[in-house]
Order: sequence, then structure tokens, then C-alpha cells
Amino acid sequence: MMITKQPSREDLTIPYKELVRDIVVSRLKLVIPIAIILYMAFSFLDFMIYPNWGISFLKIRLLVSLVLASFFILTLFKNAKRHIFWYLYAGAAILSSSMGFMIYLTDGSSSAYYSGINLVFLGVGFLNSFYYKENALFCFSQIAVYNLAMLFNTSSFNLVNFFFANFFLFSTTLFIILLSEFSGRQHFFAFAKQKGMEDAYAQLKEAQERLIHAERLSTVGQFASGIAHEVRNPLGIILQGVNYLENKIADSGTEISEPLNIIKENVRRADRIIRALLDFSKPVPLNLRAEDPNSILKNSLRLIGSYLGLKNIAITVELKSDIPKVLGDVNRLEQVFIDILLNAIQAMPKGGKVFIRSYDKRIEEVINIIDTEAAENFNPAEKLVIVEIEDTGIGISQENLKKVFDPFFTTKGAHGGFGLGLAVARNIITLHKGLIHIESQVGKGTKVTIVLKAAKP
Amino acid sequence: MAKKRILIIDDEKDFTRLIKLNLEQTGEYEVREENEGVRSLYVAKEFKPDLILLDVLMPDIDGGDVCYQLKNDKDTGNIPVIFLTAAVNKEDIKKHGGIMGGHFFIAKPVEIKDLINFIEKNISKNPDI
Repeated sequence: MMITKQPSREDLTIPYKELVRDIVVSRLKLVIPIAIILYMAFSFLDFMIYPNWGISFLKIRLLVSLVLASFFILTLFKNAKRHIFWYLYAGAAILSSSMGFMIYLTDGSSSAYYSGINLVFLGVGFLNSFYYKENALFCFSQIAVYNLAMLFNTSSFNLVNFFFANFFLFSTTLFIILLSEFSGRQHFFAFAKQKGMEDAYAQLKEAQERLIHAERLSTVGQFASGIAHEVRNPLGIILQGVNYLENKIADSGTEISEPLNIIKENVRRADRIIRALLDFSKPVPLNLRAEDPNSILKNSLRLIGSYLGLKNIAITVELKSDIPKVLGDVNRLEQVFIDILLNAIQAMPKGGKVFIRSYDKRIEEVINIIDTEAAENFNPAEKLVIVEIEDTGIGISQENLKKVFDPFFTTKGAHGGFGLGLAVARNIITLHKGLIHIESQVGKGTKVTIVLKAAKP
Repeated sequence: MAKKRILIIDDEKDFTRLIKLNLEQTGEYEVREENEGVRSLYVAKEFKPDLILLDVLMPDIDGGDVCYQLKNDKDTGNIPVIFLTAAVNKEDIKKHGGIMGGHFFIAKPVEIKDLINFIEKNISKNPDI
């Protein structure tokens, strides 16, 4: 059974909200200056229709424009999008409320300034064409403000004008609600489709890279025997030559014997590398039995115990007491644990801490470290045994983290290892139908997590 | 005392040359080299060695086939044969006590003192007997 990571509606909500906020910010940056210009330009109407109120309304308009300008400045900040809808509705409310105030001061229900409120509604609909509920709430609240302004101006109350003004305001509101509901839905579907395609592409690319990687490793394996034979023959010749010279110059002292010893040591070193390569490439027959993972861990620790003491490393062991057994090859698993422990020790040249933990989980509890391909090995009903080995060492960079399982990759220098330990470890764990996962941070340490299947009781 | 006769059969000329030099340097051995596997039986019957060092992978014939020919000839059937191989790890050979498939094995690269030790241990033995 394959567990795939298709984006759900919940997965899309947060990135969609982020996208919408970005769009609204950029729209506001465009619309606010236009709104200020238009709002100030319409002050000529004040002087034409209500010349007695011209100066007062101009002051109101200037004040409102200043407030809108300050909102514009706020949109320029990086954290603007967190509060963008507040800026939008606060600015729009100030605009339409100022018109409501002008209506209250002048002709009330006979005032044509309600058309300005319609324009504000349309502006809000354009700015937020994604969420209809917020638009509806705003529009109805502003209609209420407008009606209060008319109703309090009882001297000019006209029922017909009152009816028509509300009719247009409600019509505009309905239009905005329908538009933003439809537009919002379309926009979300388009976003979800694109996100799905992007995710599918990313998964495809990742699968392709894995395939290429596996092909390369397979090629290494296929050529291992040939490489071993072709390289060991010249090594044998070199060694025989050195042996001959050693015997010929037996009493020559360190002047000659030292370089000869260096040559011999490096022949042996090359031979060890070839041996490790053959170990990596040949199929490893496993001797599978139900084994207690805690016993394997304790034995691995015991085998390197004296080495730990020398390196000033404190060990904390937290093993679950009734952990299920795993179906495994005890020698191979020991090899894996020892290799990881040795890596941990080598990452702490001045001492440090190592934490060893074991526990059991179900697959949904560890889904964050199981990718799509590895998840195919696990049945959702299965219990999994998790082993963690964590250190406080120098850590691995993100760039190197991608390569740690590659054969011959090492950060330990020429004499620190061949770089096949983790490659072999991963082979072994994969053969156990498990997986091995590494997290690391430079300067903080590394955590290796091994996931194995519990043996059936 | 007569020197022990060693026949080394390997396609690598440099390797057989140096083995010859190293063994003869001890004064204990007389060594004959052969770089063409197909001539092995003929050379063995002519030279009558006390022990044969035989490469496994040769371009003209497999060491296994050579060994078969040697063992099935009345003149060479009792000569101990030690296989020299670059394709197997020392540890794998050690696990089997130096004998795999009924034959002696040494892994390359090998130091001359280890080779001499192995020769001396097995020069009068034949695992097939």
C-alpha cells in the first residue's frame, strides 16, 4: 500500500492565505494613492453642491487622506501582510464613514453622496476578490452607518430617496458578495491545481534523482569485482617489489626502510578500500530471526565501551523496556549500530554526549521521516521499532547531508575512513525492509533514526 | 640440499618476475615463470615442480581449468596447487582456513614472507589426497 502526500485542503489553506495577502498588499499599494487622488478631486463637488460646507468638507477630506496615506506607508513594511485586511477595511470604513458624516450634515436621504459609498464598496470588492464573508460584513456595517446618518438627519428625510439609496447600496453589496465568492473559489481551485502540479513535479524530479543515484550505485557494485581484480594485481606487484628491495638492503637503516614501509602501508590501505568496496557491492545474505533490539544496542555499546571512555564521552541510554522484537540479522544490525556510534564519537574529538533511545510507534506517528518511496515498505497496521542515536558533535552541513550515504563520501580526511560505513549501513537496513534517516545541524550535533519492522508475535 | 622447485603461472609478467626474484633471493627455491595459462600443463610436466602457484583469472584460460588439467594428468596430479587471486578478500579466505572448494587460496596483494610461510606449510600437502 502506498502512502502518498497529495496536498489536502488543510495543506493548501496556509500557503493560499499567504498568496492572497501578497496580492492584496500589492493591490492596496496601487489603489490607496488613486483613492486619495479621487477623494480629494471630488472636493470640487462639495463647493458646487454645498458651497457653505466646502471648506469644512475639504478639511474632512484632507484628514481622511492623511489617514489613508499613513495606511499606504504601513503597506510598505515587511510585516504589512499580516495586518493587511485590517488596513483594507479600516481605510474603507474611514472613507465611507466620512461620506456618511457628510450625508448627515447635509441632505440626508436626499444626498447623492451615497454613490460615493457604492464606489467604496466596489473598491473593496476589487481589493478583496477572494473572501466574500469579510466583504459582506463590511458592506452591511457601512450600510448601517449610512442609514443612521440619514435617519438622524430627519429634516431632509425622503422615503423614495431612502428606498432607492438603500436599493443601490444593497445591490452593490450583493454584486460584491457574488463576485468575491465566485472569484475566490476560482482562484483557490487554480491555486490548488498549480500547487498539485508543482508538488507532483517536485516528487517526480526527486524520484528521478533517486533513480539516477541508484543506477550509479548499481554501476559501482557491478564494477566492484572487476575494479578489485584490476587494482589488486598492480598492488601485488608493488608489494613484491618492495619486499625484494627490503631484502636487498636489509642493513641500510631507516633512511631506506622508512619510505619502503610507507609504500607497504599504503598498499595495505588501498587493499582495505577495495575490500570495503567489495563488501558494499556484494549481496549480503541475512540471517533473520526475532531479535531484541535493546540487546543488540547494549552489545554494540559494550564492544566499543573502552573506546568511549578514552574519548571523554557521556552516554545516556533510554531504551523502552517492553519493546517488540525485530526480524533481523543480529550481526549486521550490530555492525550498523557500531558504525553509527563510531561516527558519533569521531564527531566529538573533545568529548561530548551520546543519546541512545529505543521505542515503538505506528507509521502515522513517524510519517515526517518516512518519504513516499520508503513508505511503501510499511503497512499502516504494522508496529515499528525506532532506534535513535544522537550526538552533540560538530554536525553535518545540509550540503553534505545529501551525500552521506554515497559510497566513498567522507568528511574525516584521508585516514579517517573510506566513506563506506553509512552506505553499507543503509544497504543492511534496506535489506531489513527498514529505513535510516539522518538529521543534523552544524555545531549542534547529529541524530540518526533507524526504523525497523517489529517481528510478528 | 636440493632447492624446492616452484612453478608460478600468472599472466602478469612483472608479478611472476618479482616472485621469482624474491623466492630465489632466499636461496631455497628454484622458480620457473609461465605467463601463458594454456602452456601450464606442458611446463609443469617438463619442470616437475614441488608446488604450483596459479592465478585464477587469466585472459587465455581460467585457473580452475588449468588446475583440472593438472589434477587429471598422472605426471602432475599430485603436485600441490595454490591459487593466487585478486578477486576475493583475505578475510573471506581466512574464514575458510585458506581452503575453498577443496583448493588452497592466497589473496593478492601478498607479502613474500606470508607467501613463503604458506608454501612451506603446504608444499608437501595436497588437499585432494
